[in-house]
Amino acid sequence: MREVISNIIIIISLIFILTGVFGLYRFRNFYSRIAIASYIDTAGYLLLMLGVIVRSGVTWFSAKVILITVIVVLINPVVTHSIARSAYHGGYRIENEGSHD
Amino acid sequence: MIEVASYLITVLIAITAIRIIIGPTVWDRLLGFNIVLSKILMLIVLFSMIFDKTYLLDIAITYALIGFVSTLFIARFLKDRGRI
Repeated sequence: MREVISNIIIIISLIFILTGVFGLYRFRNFYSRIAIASYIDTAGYLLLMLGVIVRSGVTWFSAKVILITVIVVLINPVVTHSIARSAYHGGYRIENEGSHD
Repeated sequence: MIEVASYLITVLIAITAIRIIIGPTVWDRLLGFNIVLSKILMLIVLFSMIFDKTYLLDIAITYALIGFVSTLFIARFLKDRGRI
C-alpha cells in the first residue's frame, strides 16, 4: 500500500519538475523566468522528498531526508531572491532587455 | 518508480544545462546553475534510496549547503559587477 502512495506522490512531483523546466524556456524576460522556475522547482523537490519519506517509512534514512528537505526549502527561496536582487541592482531592466550584456 | 524518476531528472538536468549555455544574461546562467544544483540534490537522494546507503545523504547535505552558499556569493559578486 505504501508503495502505491509514494509512487503517486513521486509522479505528481515529476509533473511539477517538468512544469518548472518548461517554465524555464517559456518566458521571455528574466524575472518571470526566475519566479516560475525556482518556485515550481522547490515545490517539486518537496513532493519528491515526501514520496521518498513515505516509501522509506520511519527510519533514520527518512530523518536525514527530512533534514535535507528542510535545508533546501529554507535556502532555495533565499538564493533565488538574491539572484533576482543582484539582477535588479546589476542594472538589468525589462524594457531595454537587449541593451545589457 | 524511483529509477524512472532518476532517469527523467537526469534528462531534465541536461535540458536545464542548455539554459545555462544560451542564457542571454549572466543572471540566467546563475539561475540555471541554481536549478541544476537542486536537481542534482534530488538525484543524490534518489540514488541513496536505490542503493539503500544512508551515508550517501551526508554528501547531499554538504553539497546543498556549499552549493547554495556559493550561488549566493556569486550573485552578490555580480551585483556590483565585481566591486564588492
